[in-house]
Parts: sequence; structure tokens; C-alpha cells
Amino acid sequence: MNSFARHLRKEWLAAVLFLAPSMIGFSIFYLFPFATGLLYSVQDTTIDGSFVGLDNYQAVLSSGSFRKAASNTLLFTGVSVPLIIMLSLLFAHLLNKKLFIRGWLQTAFVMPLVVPAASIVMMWQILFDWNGTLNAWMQHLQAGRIDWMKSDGSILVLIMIYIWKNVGYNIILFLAGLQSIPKDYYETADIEGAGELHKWRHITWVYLTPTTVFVVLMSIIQSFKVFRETYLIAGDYPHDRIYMLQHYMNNMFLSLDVQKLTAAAALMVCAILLLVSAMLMLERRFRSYME
Amino acid sequence: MIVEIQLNKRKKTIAVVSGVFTLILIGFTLFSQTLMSLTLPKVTLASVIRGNLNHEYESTGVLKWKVEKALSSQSGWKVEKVAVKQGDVVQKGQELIAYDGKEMEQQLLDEQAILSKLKLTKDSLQYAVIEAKQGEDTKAINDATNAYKSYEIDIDIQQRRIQKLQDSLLENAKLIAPFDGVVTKVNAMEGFPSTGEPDVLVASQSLGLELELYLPDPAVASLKAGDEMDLLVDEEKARQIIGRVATIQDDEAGVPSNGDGDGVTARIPMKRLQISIEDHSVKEGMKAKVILTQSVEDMLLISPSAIHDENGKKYVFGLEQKAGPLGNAFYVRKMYITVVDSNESQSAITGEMFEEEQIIMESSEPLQEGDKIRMQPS
Amino acid sequence: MALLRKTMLTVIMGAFALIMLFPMIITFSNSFMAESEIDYNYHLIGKMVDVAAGEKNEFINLKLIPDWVSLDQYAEVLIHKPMFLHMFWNSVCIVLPIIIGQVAVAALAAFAFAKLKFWGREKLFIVYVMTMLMPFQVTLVPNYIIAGRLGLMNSSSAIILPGIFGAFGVFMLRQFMLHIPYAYLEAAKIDGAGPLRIFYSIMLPLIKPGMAALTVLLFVDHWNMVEQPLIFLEDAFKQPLSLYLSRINEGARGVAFAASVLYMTPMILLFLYAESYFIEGIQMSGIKG
Repeated sequence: MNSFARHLRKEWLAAVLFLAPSMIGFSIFYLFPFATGLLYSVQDTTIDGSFVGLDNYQAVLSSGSFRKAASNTLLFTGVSVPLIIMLSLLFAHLLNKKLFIRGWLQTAFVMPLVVPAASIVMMWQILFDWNGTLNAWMQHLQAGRIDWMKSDGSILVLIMIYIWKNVGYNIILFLAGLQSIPKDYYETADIEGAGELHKWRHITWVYLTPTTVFVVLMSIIQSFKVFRETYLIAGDYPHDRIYMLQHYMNNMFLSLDVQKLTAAAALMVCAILLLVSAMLMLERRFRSYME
Repeated sequence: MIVEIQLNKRKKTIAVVSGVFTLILIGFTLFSQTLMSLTLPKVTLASVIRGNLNHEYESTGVLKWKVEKALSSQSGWKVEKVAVKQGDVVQKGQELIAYDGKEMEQQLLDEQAILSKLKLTKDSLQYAVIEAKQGEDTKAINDATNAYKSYEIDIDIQQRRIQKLQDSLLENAKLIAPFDGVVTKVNAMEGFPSTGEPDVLVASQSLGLELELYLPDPAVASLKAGDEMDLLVDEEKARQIIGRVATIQDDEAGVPSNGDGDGVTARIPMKRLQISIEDHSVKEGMKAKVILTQSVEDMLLISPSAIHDENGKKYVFGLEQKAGPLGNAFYVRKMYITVVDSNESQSAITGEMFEEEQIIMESSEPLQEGDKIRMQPS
Repeated sequence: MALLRKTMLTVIMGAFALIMLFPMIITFSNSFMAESEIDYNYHLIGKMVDVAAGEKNEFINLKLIPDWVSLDQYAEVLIHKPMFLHMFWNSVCIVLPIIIGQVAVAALAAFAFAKLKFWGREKLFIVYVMTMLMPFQVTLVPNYIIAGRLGLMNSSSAIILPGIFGAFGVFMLRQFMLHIPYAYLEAAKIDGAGPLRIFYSIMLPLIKPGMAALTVLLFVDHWNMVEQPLIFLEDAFKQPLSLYLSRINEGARGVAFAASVLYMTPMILLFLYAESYFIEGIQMSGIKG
């Protein structure tokens, strides 16, 4: 008993030593900023500010541009995440089939993930400009031109870019999930004479659910990162349809409105936390249901 | 196993490609400056200097005798003999040209014959007077006396006529030198009458030579009559002599100056200078040159070839040094200037410039403001 | 029959793969166009052509194969634009310290999270994971203020230091370490090895694939950085290549393709070289620990 306690203390000491470098830096550059950010969001000024409660939050919530940004972000995430999940699941299934040059095909799907956003912006401009290639094709099909980046179509463009870039990541995850399903399950089902759809619903989908939860989570996180492309293509003030929360925060930063920025950030964090815990709860419930 | 080997092969290829890529980038990083400078326009520089702008005016003329007498005959007779040739030194009174006066000599002989004929009547007229005086007839006396007087008058007239012819013959039969001098030109030819031009020109040696020059107004601004000036005489070896300004006069004609390309030829007012030369070592007909220098003091001077024109606005290309990531780089800067004055090799300018500033003289390519350039190693 | 099916499927997937690769292919092929050809083909970008007003109904002339293969753009970028290479090395000088630093710091912390028992281990780990999920803008202001306090403004350290202490490395390496059975470590422990010794001579060799995967993922993430340098590095001499490209797209369109190709080449080479690690890394992060 005594030796176990000593052993535990020794391990605790070791843990502190191992964690120290990471913890120090992490505190300085992440924890502390996050805490001060929260503090700023309930004060009236950054330096020697006094507590104003939720005034800043109220101001942010009642601001038109925040609402616009929030609803755009929500719309974008709400549309693009289900879409990308479906597409990546489809492609993962197809890639899991017997194919020639499978390795190369997989590489091609993952490649966009590593291509720097800035290096491909020119391509998006060529495709989606008023005089762009996409409009040229539309004209061929007797459809009129659309000024993609300056209309409601811009959100479609963003969804396309988002899917193009992140579908590979999800495909990899789904492929791993698919490959981890024991083959004999399908064989048993075959013997029982189950149809393809039945097999998919009762074996594949069930086994893929944990992966799907993670994929959804990652897709949501990545959907926030599409800001980079938007920013590079459309700048600080894009069309109303693609004015995202990050634009709002960026512009608040540029106009030095720290209170609104931190309040908006805190709101976003809350939303993300809610989403994540909801997803994890869903997964836990699913697990207990499985068991 | 085979897949593994293939994978390793692929990795090896990628590693090699990465290595090459990195080396290329490092290479360009280290040598891009050098490579770039090879492709930049190459320029040669000159600095702006402060100094005097000298205008050099040059004019050439031919030395001439100062006084030259044109001699000719009014008779229209044929030339009988040309006694001198061009360049002969002659004394005062020396015969130069003899004319053929035969016609007049003939006339003289005729007149003399008439006189002799008249004289033949003298005795009979004298006898008639004496005879009449022996009588008492006054009328006869008067008639005889009048006839004799009339005879005497006729004689006088005839004698004067002869005298006149003789004088004329003497005068027109030859040309003689009016003073000690040199025959500068002979137009007369033996056997032909004079052509209207002076038959012979004689110059006075004692008065010396003179030079007539045309110079632009500003060049002679500081000169006045009586000033001495240096002349270069063009012999086998150029030699300097001294002349003295005799007169300065306006010249009506003027000389078209090479205008600034507008097609408008501004006329520079010209002056005519007469310079007398007392140096006896030079000869008539030599070419003499005068070089006058006018200087405008304390100006910023640059070479005219560095000045460019843009719709009448003049500018030069200067340099701008900017700190680049890899050392300093030089860029072209346009500087507007005003050309105050200029001569063949230098222009005096004003503008935002200072002494010793470097400007671009020549470039391997046409330049524009902001171009990066490299300097010719000098 | 099976062969036909396989061929058909390959063709269909190949078509999709081509769509995925399309932007890269175009960028690569167009990087061999002369600047004048680029200008001729793409001068219409950003112009509003009013067809109703009688203007010519024209479109950008997207071309796969240049009329004239030329190395113009590369020469221009590599020789005449010294800023490009300068910023390229800036990027390298920002990304390499982040990778080395984060792999080292994260390996240590991940070992503590994965294999050492201490109070509050799970809760602390959740805090780490949470920050990983936050968009960069959330901590923008406090980060900015801290960078100012530490005198890091306008210095690449303002990007490198937060990069080193990012939570992602800790998260990922922990995932890898969880898969190493305790039995490996117990054996060493019985031999009397301390935690440091165990970490150094047993854990590190075993998680080499994990570190490789982390290296690739970090490289992708930070080579791509746009927002951070935009805010922390005002001085163009210190900015990484990503900002050069975002600027070149506005001005010198003629060399944008070659610059893009040079910018993405290290990324793609690394990806092709370490694709298996990359995929393993992504899959590992997806498996619940």
C-alpha cells in the first residue's frame, strides 16, 4: 500500500515534468487568451474595464451583421455538412469496391486537402467570375449568366469549394470504418438471404455510426475553416450570402471593437461546445443501445 | 512484397525530385540577384557637375588686302600689251597695261593734216592785208583783216583739237600703277577690248590685310572696335596672329539656327566684323579662323545626350536606391529639368538636382520610370 | 462480367478523380504559359461585360494546354521577383520550427496523457481538445494583446510559438500511444527504467509513424496559414508565401500560376512521399481512445 502510494506520487511528478513544456506554452497562448477573451466580453473596455454583465452579448445579438453572419454560418454548415457526409460516404463505398489503380484514385481524392488555399484561388476566380468558365458553360446550355460571387450563388460556390477540399478527409475516415467491419457479418447475411439495402442498414450503417459522428464533428470544424478560401477570393466584405461569423469577427478586430468580437467569439464557442457535447451524447446513447 | 518494393521505388523518386526542387530553389535564391542583373537594362552613369558653361563660336574668313584699286580703261580699246601678272610688285607710275590707240592716232594725223592745210593759207591772207592797207579802201582793209583773224581762230581750234586727242591718246594708251603695291588680279587679255570688269587690280602694300567675319550676336557682345583678337592662320602649321577689330556692324541676313525640331528656324542675329591685320608674315588669300569663348559661370552641367524630351518638357533619368531583400537595388527615377543654356557638349540646367548627383547617360534598353537597372562596371 | 464492372467503376471514379485534380492540373499546365498568353486568356476576370449595352459576349478563355510552352513565369518569379523566394524561405522558417517544436513538445505531453496516471488527466485533455476545435478568430484579440506584451508583434515568433503549443499534436500522438500496449512499458519498468527512459527508448521508436503523420499534417496546416500572418506580420519582408500569393492574385496575374505551382510543390511532394502516414494519421485521430 505504501509502495503503491509512493509509486503514484512518483508517476504524478513524472506527469508534471512531461506536461510542463506543453502546459506552459498552452496556457500562455491558448488558455490565458481564452480566459481573458471571456473576461473582455463582459467588460466595457479592455483596460480597467468594469463589469457590464451581458450588455456586450446583447449588443452583438441585436446587431444586424452578426445575425446575418450567424445565420449564414448556420446555413452553410447546415447544408454543406450533410452534403459532404453523403458524398464522402458514397465515394468511400465506391473506393472500397474492387477497382483498378485504387491507390491512385484515393490519392486524387485526398490531394485537395494538401493544396494550399492561396495557390488555387486563381482557379476559383477563373471558374466563378462573371466572365468565368462556369458561366460560359451555362451559356452553352442556354441558361443565363450568374455573377456567382456577387449573388446568392456565392454560397453554392463556397459549398463546392468546401466539398472539393474536405471530401478526401472524410473518405479516408469512412474507408477505415468500412474496412474495420468484419467480412463474415456480410457472409452470414448473404446466407440468410438478406438484400443489399438490408445488409447496408443493419451491418454497414450500424458499424459506421461512430465514425460518422466523428466525421460530422470534423466536417463542422472544417466548415468554419472555409473562411480562408472565402477571404482569399472575396476579401473583407464579400457578398451578403457568404458573410460568415469569421468575417464579422475579423472586421470587429479591424475596427478594434474588442467587446463585440469577444462576445461573438464566446457565443461561437458556446455553440461549438453545445454541438460537440450533443454529438458525443448521441454517440454514447448509440453505444449503450448497441450493447 | 512487390507492392512494398514499388512503394520504396516511388518514395525514392519523390525524394530525388524533392532534392532537386530544393536545390533549384536554393540555387535561385543565391544567384537570382546575379541572374537578374544580367537581364536588367545596363546603364552608364555620369555625374552632374558644377562649373562654367563655355560657348565657343568659330568663324572663318579669307584674308584680303585692305585697299584695292580697280583700274580700267574707259576707251574700249583693245589691249595691246599686258605688262604685269598677278602678284607682281609694282612701283608707282609703272606701266601695267598698254592699249591699242591706232584709231585715235589716225584721227590725230588727220587733224594735224587739216592744221597744215590751214597754215598754207596764212601767207596769202597776210599778203591780202598788206595790199589792202596800201589802198585807201577801208572796206577792203576790214575784210582782209577779219579773214586773217578768222584764220587764226581756226588754227587755235585745230591746235586744241589736236592737243585733246594727244592727251586722250596718252591717257588711254596705258594703265599705270597709282601707288606702290601688288597686282592682285589681271582681267585684261591681249588682243581683246576690256570686258567691263576692271582690267587690273592693284593693292596697296603699306596698308596691310583685313579679314571679314560673321559671328552671332552674343559672341561679340563684349567686343568693341579697337580690341585685339587672336586669329589662327591656316597654313601648313596653324599659327596665331593678332588682329584688331576695325568695325562691328549688324548683318541683315542672319543665319538660320538649327531650331529645336519644330520646323521653325529662329534667326540668330549676326554681326559682321572687320578685322585689320598688320602682321606682314601672312599673305593675302590665307584662311584665318577666330574662336571666341563666352562662359556662363557657376551652372549645373550635364551632357545634352542625357536629356530626354517629352512634349517639350525636358527630363533626365536619375537613380533611386532602394533596399531590397538581397542588398540594394537601383531604380530609374525621372527628374524634370529646365535647360537654361547649352553648347555642343554640355547643357546648363536647373531643376531638383544637386552637384555630384548621378544621372543615366546611356542605356542598353529604353528606360521608364521605376525600371530596375544595373550599372555598367566602370 | 466482374471485370467489366470493375472497369466501369474505375472509369466513373477516374472521372471524379479528374474533377478533384482539375484545379491542380490547370494550375500546373497554365504555369507554362507566357505572361502575355495569360493576360490574353484571363484579362476578363473581374470585368463586368454588359451584353445588353452591346458589349461583346465574351468569356474567360480557360485553356488546358498553352499555345506556346514557355518558362517565362518561372523565370519571372524566380529571377525578377526576389520577394517570392524570400517569402518562400520565410514560410520554411516558420513551418519548420513549428513542426520540430510541436512534435517534441506534443510527444512529451501525449506520453503523460496516454501512459501516466495523474489527477485531472481526462478533464485537462478535454480542455486541450476543445481549443483544437475553436476557430482562430476566437482568441484573436487576447492573442494579439499577448503577442504585444511579449514583444512578438511583427516577428515570426508571434506565429511560431502558438504553433508549437497547438493542441493537435498532443491529441494525435496520444491516439497513437494509446495503441501501444502497457505490456511493452511494464517490461521496461520491471527492469528499473524511469519514465524518461521508457519514453525515450521504448515509446519514441514505437510512435515514429505517428510523428511522421503529425509532421505531414502540421506541414499542411501551417504551410497554408493565411489569417495569422495577416494579423501578426505587417512587414512584407517577414510574411510567408501564402500572403505573397494572395497579393499576386490581385496584381501580377501573369505569374500567379507558376508561383502557385512552386508554392504547392513542397506540399504535394511531401504528401506523395508520406501519403500512408498522412492517411494513418487521419484515421488514428478518428478512432476513439
